[in-house]
Amino acid sequence: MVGGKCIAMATSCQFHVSAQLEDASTKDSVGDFQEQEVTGLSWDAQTESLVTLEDNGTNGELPQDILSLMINKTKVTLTFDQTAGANNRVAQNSVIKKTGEAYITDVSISAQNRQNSTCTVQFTGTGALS
Amino acid sequence: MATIKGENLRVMVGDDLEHLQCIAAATNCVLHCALQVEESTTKDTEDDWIVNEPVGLNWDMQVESLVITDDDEEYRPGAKNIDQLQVGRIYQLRFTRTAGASGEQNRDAVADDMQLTGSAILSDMQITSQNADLATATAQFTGSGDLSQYHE
Repeated sequence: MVGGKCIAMATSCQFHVSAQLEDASTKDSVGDFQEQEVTGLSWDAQTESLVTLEDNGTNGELPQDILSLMINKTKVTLTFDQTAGANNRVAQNSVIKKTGEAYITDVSISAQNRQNSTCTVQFTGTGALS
Repeated sequence: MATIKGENLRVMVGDDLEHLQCIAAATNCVLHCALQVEESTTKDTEDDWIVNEPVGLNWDMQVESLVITDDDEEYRPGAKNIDQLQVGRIYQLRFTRTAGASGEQNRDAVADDMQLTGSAILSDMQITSQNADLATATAQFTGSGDLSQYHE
């Protein structure tokens, strides 16, 4: 969810967290195996959706709005959560809920003849994920 | 909600915004826009999470089409062919929704929110001719300057 609004006509989403590691092996290390230290944490998310221009009052985030947010370099609040209810867009505040601030860093709209056009959006987290 | 079919999103190209034409015999197009971020984590940053700042935007478009012959009267008139475009040259581009069956050859732009325009350099052009397959052409345009909403 972007600022409390689901991506309209979403078909897939991916949430990804990674730890950056630095080799902390020294001459004092025992054995041949590397030792690692965590130096930072980062996260990102990706959504895929069909392209539509109207949400018919269902309060969905549309591709043209996503593009505007990116071009304006707007920092958005991103929430990954279980949903239910009307249009399956009501966040359930579940145990898997993750939220944080992110920039929209990549938008791709594909239009293949005789297929539904699709929109892929990449979010890059900035700061803590809670 | 109505989905937009792939055939109803097209790239139009030309020397100026008043005289843009669709790519003839197009089969696929992609509009891609990216925001570059730079890590701004410092020694003052609390906790382990990486902090980013936005630094720049870039965009590009890609169009794929079938290769059509010089005497193809069905497709050539009123359209641009990828093989006629010059690599390294700057063009005006418009990514737009089209009228579909109601418009002649599906080449009439529809005035709505899905109309984006900008100047771009044709940075890559490729023609592929595999034996027994239709020959295809691919054009890669790299945006130069703003990508903005098109207004009639």
